[in-house]
Amino acid sequence: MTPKTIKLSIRSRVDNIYLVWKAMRALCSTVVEDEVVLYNLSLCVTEAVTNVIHHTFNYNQRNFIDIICTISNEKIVFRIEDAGNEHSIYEYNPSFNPNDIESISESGYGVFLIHLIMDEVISKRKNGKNILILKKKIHRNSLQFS
Amino acid sequence: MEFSTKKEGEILIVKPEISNIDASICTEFKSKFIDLINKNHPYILLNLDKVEFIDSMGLGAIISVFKTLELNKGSLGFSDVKPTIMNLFKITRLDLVFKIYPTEKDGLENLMKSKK
Repeated sequence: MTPKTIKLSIRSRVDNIYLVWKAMRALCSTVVEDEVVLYNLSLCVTEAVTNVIHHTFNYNQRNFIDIICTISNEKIVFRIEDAGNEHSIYEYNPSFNPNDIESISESGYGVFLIHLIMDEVISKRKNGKNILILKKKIHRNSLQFS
Repeated sequence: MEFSTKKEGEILIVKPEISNIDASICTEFKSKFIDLINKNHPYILLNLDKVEFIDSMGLGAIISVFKTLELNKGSLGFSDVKPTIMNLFKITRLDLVFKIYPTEKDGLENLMKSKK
């Protein structure tokens, strides 16, 4: 299969998050069968989009976010772009002590999940845009991820 | 955000009638549960049968409700969790602290015991 690319352009609104997840899940299901993998992969895209809505656009709904998804037999690549102020995503581990309920963090899971699930995470600024690239390899035999 | 509620003994069963607990409803989710807690429902079983998507913001809202109940002599349990969401609980290690039951019936039988 030659790589195929599709681009979605959405308004920076939180009520688009579920639609993004459904759309990514449907796209990835063309090369992935495992339900957990489909969920996690699509979740990473929504987490990236939520970060942009929250940190870049501060919930201003008038902006746009582009999601470019490229699918081949070997890998899936998501590219999330916005033209907002410069921002980066920082790796964070919301670890806690299971015996101490107060120690459980209520935030910080989004970036943690992106780094945990994806093989490669690249964040850069180019031509006035924030660009986040998420890559995941595919095992052809099992139609699952390595 | 819509959910149905049903009281069984000391336990209030709350069943969201939505597919997603995410950034779009996390504030409302927390607010509705705080209302329930303030109406003297310290034991809540959250039936996730209809929920197919939870993101990190939704997870944060659930953790907030969990902590509020558990730190105030109440309890929050979960039932009918889909394998994809169960995996989310596992990779975030929340399965180590959440009380997760296969069915609503199991939750009703065991949630109170877990607190004693």
